[in-house]
Amino acid sequence: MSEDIISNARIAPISLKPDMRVRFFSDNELEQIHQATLTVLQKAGVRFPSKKALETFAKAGANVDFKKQIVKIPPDLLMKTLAKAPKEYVMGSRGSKGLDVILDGKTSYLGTDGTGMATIDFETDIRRDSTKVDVGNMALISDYLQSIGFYWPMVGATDVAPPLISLHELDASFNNTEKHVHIVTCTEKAQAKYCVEMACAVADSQENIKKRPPLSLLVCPISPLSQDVASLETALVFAEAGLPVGFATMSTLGSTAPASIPGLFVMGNAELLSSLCYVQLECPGAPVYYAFYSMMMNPYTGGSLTHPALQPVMNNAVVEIGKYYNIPVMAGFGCGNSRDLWSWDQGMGSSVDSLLMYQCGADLMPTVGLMEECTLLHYEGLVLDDKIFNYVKGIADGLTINEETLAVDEIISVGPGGHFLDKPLTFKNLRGLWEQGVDTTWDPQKGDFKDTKAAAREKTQWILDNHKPVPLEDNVKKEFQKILKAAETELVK
Amino acid sequence: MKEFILTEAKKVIREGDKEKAAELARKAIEGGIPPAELLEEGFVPGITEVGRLFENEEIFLPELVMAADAMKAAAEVCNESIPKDEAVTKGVVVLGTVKGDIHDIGKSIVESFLSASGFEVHDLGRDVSTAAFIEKAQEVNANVIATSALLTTTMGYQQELEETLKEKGLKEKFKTIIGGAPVNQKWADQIGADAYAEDAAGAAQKISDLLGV
Ligand code: B12
Repeated sequence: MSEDIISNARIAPISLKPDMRVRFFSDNELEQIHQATLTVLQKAGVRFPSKKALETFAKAGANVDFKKQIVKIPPDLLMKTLAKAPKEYVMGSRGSKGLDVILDGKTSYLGTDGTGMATIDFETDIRRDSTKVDVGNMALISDYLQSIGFYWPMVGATDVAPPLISLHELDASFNNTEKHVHIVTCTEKAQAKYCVEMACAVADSQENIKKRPPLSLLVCPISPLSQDVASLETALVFAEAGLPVGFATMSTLGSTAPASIPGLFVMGNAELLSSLCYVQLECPGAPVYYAFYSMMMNPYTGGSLTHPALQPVMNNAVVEIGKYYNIPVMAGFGCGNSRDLWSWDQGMGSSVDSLLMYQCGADLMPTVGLMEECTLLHYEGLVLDDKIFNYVKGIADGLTINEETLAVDEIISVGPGGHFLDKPLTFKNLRGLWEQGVDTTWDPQKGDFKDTKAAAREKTQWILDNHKPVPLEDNVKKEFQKILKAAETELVK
Repeated sequence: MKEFILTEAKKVIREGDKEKAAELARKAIEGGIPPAELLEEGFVPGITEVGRLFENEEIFLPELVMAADAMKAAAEVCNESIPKDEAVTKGVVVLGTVKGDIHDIGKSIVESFLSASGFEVHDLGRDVSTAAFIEKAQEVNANVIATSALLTTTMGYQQELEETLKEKGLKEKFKTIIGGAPVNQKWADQIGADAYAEDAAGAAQKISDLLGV
């Protein structure tokens, strides 16, 4: 059956011209951040409330206080262990290799943001709890949009039994997109086991899962300087199966981190390095990545605040810090504070952040589509962000300088006065220049650009009605049903 | 002298100085000021003022949190000297983040707000089992059990609490209030929680309404 549908999924990552790269730090400043981190890891240490982890660290030569559950990591142990993490690897798709995310340090992949909890209903425009259908619909839209390189279920499937949420998110995701899937809602090893089974079913065999792992997981340390045992155990189940695992600190400026951005970087870096070091001690060579998900505290409510000026700095300066350790970096968890998709602020935030993100060269950028500090989904939001990213891609692709593009012959042939309307370059290039982002919003009948709102709705509806993702093979679907059944029997009371 | 001490009590809360607040309370009681009066005319107006400043967005959250800590320290000293049944409190609340959930920033802000509003709060921290909530509520003879859940995967424990309270015939004894980002009034209605609040100020208001104080 699946042979009937030809894949229309595409991805269009960005390879930035090295000359266009933006740096926040000099080498010397990076070194200072690194040294400060080492001091924190040696003097304060990190809490690992897990006997297994404490024993592993002690055996490796760290300074472990079993009573206080604190691990202090000496620099040489840290650096030696981190060096085991692969610098480059592949996050596989379930489709052709052309859809794989190839982490080579030079290419940036955009992904959806997750995992919100509420949805503005596409039909009624009314806010409601998010559902498994939303997870599937957004996977389908992401399958279609070229800018999206990997899919993070954008909202939680709140309409299924809580212990099965992550599994149903995977079910809806894999069924609706061929692209790589990334999750965060798996928080216990009991669920992790079934997630791995689903990934194996998708990847055919354990062997394949290591070459092109179709699933990855993100887990978080608890700022300041603590680890969560259940999260670490979950991460190990994934890592042991060969699935990539990332660590993201959500240290918040002013509440769980010092109210100084470089200070937040030092502390968050210490947390992440301790997580990464632990995984490499347990599973040497496991594919891992490095992520900051920091915001500022809203001083009036204590909530997370996407500060218009500081957020792009926090999102992007960390790329260099992660790369200092030769580990792929995920950065830029987009999101504004706005509840209103049509507000000026939302578009402004996405634009500034996205350009900077490409220029800093993060490997993974799960940044599009959510609002209200990454909790609220608006279907059309993804289509609008896709548009911003297409513009930005145009900028980030840079300009090619050669004899033809410098157009000296044409300039001389026209000379002072005259025009270029009938010149070869005009004929050859005008269409391409126009199509770079804006063509789909032009309304020839109106002789003007379409209303942004109407165009986004129209495009979203069109994708939902017309895009047909390549379905999972029948046997994989059956396997999924079996896994969900078994998980239900074990995990739901 | 008494006037002066009561003014000092207000000031020390406003400044959020925990040590000074406890020390002032001890000295004032030794000096003969009745602890109930010290609370009601000194420390409580202090924290009420801080609450007002915060609501008017004249001060930031960390200042409220520090003031609430100072208030707690002062109240503890005062209440030690007051017979248990005369203790000055608007109600007793057992609070925590549900099992399997380690998010506690929002919950801690709720704690500060409730303390600042004059409730006696027993904060059980995060990853708290349903059994632990009920056990503590019975131990301290609580009026309200307040639970926080930040994950779609852990909201279910708020429902488990309602069901267990009903099974044990305790539903009438303890009022329940729920909160956290994925939680809303609809969920409260669905599981039978007595109240829901969107933020910490709302939590204090709803609990006051529930208890009629
Ligand atoms: C900071 C944060 C963390 C920190 C928490 C630090 C801490 N000490 O609490 C860390 C990094 C540890 C963390 C971990 C995880 N997190 Co987190 N986290 C957040 C984040 C960014 C902010 C939460 C927060 O603190 N908000 C600020 C406070 C002030 O707001 P609040 O909690 O909503 O509280 C207010 C109200 O809700 C209300 N309230 C709260 N409690 C109560 C209780 C009562 C009784 C009442 C009346 C009111 C009330 O009053 C509060 C004050 O106004 C949110 C995203 C977001 N924007 O919300 C994600 C988020 C909640 N996390 C998420 C996830 C997935 C996780 C992890 C599972 C990730 C992982 N795989 O490791 C783990 C959790 C593991 C576990 N078992 O619990 C997801 C949830 C997804 C979902 N659909 O369920 C979110 C939405 C992020 C995202 N978009 O993916 N997280």
